[in-house]
Amino acid sequence: MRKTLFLIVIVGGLIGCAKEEKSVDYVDPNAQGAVAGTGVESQDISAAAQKAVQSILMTPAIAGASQPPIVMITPVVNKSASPIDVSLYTTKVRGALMQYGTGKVRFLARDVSSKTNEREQELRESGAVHGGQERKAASYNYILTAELQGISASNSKGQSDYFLVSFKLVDSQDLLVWENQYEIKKEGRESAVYR
Amino acid sequence: MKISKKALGGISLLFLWSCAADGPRSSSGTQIKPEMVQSANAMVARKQIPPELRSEFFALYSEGRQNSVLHAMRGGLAAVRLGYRDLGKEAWDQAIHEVEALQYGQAQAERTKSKFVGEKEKWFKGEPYERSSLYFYRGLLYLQDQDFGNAAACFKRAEVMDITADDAPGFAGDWTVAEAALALASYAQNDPGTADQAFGRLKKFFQYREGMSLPNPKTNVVLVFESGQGPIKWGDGRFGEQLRFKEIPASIEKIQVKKEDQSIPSTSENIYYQATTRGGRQIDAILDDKASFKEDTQNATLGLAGGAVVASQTEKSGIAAGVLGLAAIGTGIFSAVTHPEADLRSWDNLPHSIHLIFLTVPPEGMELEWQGVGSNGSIQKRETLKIPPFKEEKIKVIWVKRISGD
Repeated sequence: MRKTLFLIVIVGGLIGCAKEEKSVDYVDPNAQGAVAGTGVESQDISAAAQKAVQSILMTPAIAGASQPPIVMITPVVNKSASPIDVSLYTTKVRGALMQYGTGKVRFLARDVSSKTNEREQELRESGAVHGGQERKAASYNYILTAELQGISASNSKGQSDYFLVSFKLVDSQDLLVWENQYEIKKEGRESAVYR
Repeated sequence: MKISKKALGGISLLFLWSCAADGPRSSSGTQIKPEMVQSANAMVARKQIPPELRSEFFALYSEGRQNSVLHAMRGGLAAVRLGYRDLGKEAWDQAIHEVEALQYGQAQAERTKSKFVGEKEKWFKGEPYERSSLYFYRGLLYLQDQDFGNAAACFKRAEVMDITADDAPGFAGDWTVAEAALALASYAQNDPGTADQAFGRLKKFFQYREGMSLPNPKTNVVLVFESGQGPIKWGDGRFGEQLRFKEIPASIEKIQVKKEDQSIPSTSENIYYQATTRGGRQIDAILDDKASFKEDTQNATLGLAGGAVVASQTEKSGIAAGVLGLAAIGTGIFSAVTHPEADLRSWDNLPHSIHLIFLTVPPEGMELEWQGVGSNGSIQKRETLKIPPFKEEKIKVIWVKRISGD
């Protein structure tokens, strides 16, 4: 009896004082988190970009081009009610387009390389370095824009967010070649202890 | 193996002691584990947190999710006021991420509903006025960074967070400074339609005044003033179960700038007004239920104890007195461990009011006089402000020092 009691005290003490918790978990970056909000997430933009590129590749201007046209991707414009990491989202859009559009379109990455390339050309011209290819920067055939719009609402039960991701492909003469939108709607309930 | 009762008692006491060892406690009253203290100290050192911000950031890093939003809100504002904008951004982005995580059905939220768990043990997300303030301030930093899309998003979100109960629908999303700042960010984003919509809403708000300083497409400077002390939470009712707010009146109610013999009053937000116009909270019903339970068990304890005394005087065996006495102890324990108190943790360095002045300043800069106006219209403070020349920013945000003497 005493031994049992002793064991109960020990086990009880261990349970009470030493709840073992795993400090880090690897999770699928494309999966929704266990505790989520209704804001737009990077995987939402990525999924929209995947659909967009599949549609872009079917437009006659791209599909019928004699050689893969060059596209410049501009930073995502946020007009929603959710602050976003514009740089991260632009990278996600570019990543999706690169993955699905390689070989059929080429992408201009002026924001990534132009300063370095220009500096290198200056060094080449001054004779400080030699070799390499003389810089003649490419221009684009099309600009691809991505804009995030949205409506947010809340009430005493929870909140909802509607997002519209609009992609536009515009040629160098400002003509709109292609446009498509993707909708995302999220609704969430908040616990009564926060309402 | 024989274990004496004394040894058993000693072991039990040892465990109890190890569980309840003395040490720093969080804003929720829970003990902070030594390893958390150690890692928070290391974090404060690694991030080179300035000495005047250390206590808040230590609390942010050591108190875990239960109080991280609270300390991120406070620490962020303290950091921004001292000019540590990156630190403020980091803290507020963490707070926004955690405020946005909905808690419906989550274990910690469900636990809070228990009679034996205080509201202050839930993960802090703040009251709607605190959540709106968080987005509003973050929006100002985006504006400073010339990120007008995210600034506008934050100002919109500040209104979304101004949730009210079903009994106060007219006060939802009525932050004047958020709409005015949204209009400014929208002009800067070449989106005049959104600016017009913001003005349309703003002009219906209780705090709107004809002639107040508002942005236009040429606005390129916004002055931000803070005055007074924000609302103070306190608990009313039988056991402090009803959340109430105390106002410390600010000696400066609005700001005005002198421009070409005209006085232009600020767009101002009274945060106490925002705190007190949200209507009833759903958790109030839960806390009221806890308070009733505590009161009932308290009354039962008194009744049973009284009965035990009477029984001990009238019955020789003492059995009835013993039973009643034990029951009184039981109800007394239930009463003592019931926690109906409202959560009084608050973003306590918020100001009483936030004031915005929108200006169109020539490239060479300008000098102007601003005046702090009291409730009776008298000038409480006046100062000259020099706006230096600026070229790179489309919108310059000037955070005027917090107005003292309130």
